[in-house]
Amino acid sequence: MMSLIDPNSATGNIVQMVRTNPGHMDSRGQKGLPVGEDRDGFGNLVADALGRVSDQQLNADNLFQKMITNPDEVEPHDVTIAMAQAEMSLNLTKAIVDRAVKAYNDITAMR
Amino acid sequence: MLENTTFARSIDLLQRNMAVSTLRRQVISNNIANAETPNFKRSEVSFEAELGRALASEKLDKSIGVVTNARHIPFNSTVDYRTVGPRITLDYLTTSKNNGNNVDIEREMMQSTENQMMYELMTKAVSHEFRQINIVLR
Amino acid sequence: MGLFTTINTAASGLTAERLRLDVISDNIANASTTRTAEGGAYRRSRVIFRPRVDQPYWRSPFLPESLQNKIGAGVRVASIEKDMDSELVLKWDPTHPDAIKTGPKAGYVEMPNVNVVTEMVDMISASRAYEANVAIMDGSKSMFRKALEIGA
Repeated sequence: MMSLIDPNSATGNIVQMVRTNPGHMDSRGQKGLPVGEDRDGFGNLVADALGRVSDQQLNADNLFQKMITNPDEVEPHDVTIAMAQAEMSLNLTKAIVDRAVKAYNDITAMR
Repeated sequence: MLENTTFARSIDLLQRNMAVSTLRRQVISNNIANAETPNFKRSEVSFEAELGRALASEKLDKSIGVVTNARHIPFNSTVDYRTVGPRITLDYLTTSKNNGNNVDIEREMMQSTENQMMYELMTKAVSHEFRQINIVLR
Repeated sequence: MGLFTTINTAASGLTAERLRLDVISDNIANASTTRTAEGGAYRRSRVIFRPRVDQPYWRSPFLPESLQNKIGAGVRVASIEKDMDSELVLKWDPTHPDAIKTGPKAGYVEMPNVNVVTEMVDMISASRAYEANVAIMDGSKSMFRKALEIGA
């Protein structure tokens, strides 16, 4: 059973209720659900994935450089974890891009 | 994309713990190297207990005592586990040898063995996390 | 920091204990030397160890933060000095070429102040510390190899 009160939104002596329908009013009398960003479109998905991969690869490369010039500063497990993260992000991106392209092709081939 | 998942949190916790494990190994190694130095007192690192407290504070019931004024102190506030750091403490109260030294080599060896085994276990745990995701992506 | 600093620290311990072992063996070998180049009987040597990074030996709430414990970096040998504090042992032997000729101690020979039993005990504790340092280095190597297996 869903809880009726949203404990994280307590300010002063006012506690908000959980609203599920845009017709519900909040404590100030305004309608409309709280707005979140639309991050689930195809374009955003691929762009997000590519951004993450680039960050991780740069991070791993920075660590390599630090490791070469000053090995006392960098721990071995940091380097290997960064490498594994970069590899995993790349795998994830490849899988997402493959599926997204395949889905797009399926949809356009339906016509 | 995987920022707020349990995966990222596990990896972060394990990585922090491994860094503290390396620090602890350095402190133990310093203790052992100075085992014959007169008037040397051993040090130790404390981290896990505080981290445990910070993690347990996330599960506390926060609906007790909703604060109404910014100056009120809440009953159960969450401590972010990322702010917990290792602390090196000096054990200056004991003496175990005539020259003022208080390093007990057997105890340090036991601690270093335990430290090494925990580190290796943590690397296994991290490998496991990565392998889980890579299996799905194959 | 890394595992390399740990290996450096353990190596400093190895060097110091090795030097101590050398000094002990020198003392034992010279346990009966009654005449040395600088005159008089042989006096035992000893090594003075100091930590490489000066650490406070006491803590108090009034100690400023900057003096709180830094991470140590091992041990160094500050000096090797002769033990001038203990007395030389006197042995009665009037026919010895190094016997004292005149004075209240006439007929006695001054023997070195080396007590072989003490030196042996020191040697045992030095080799135990040496082995402990070697174990630390082995453990660090194993940890490094395990860390490399993370990405599999």
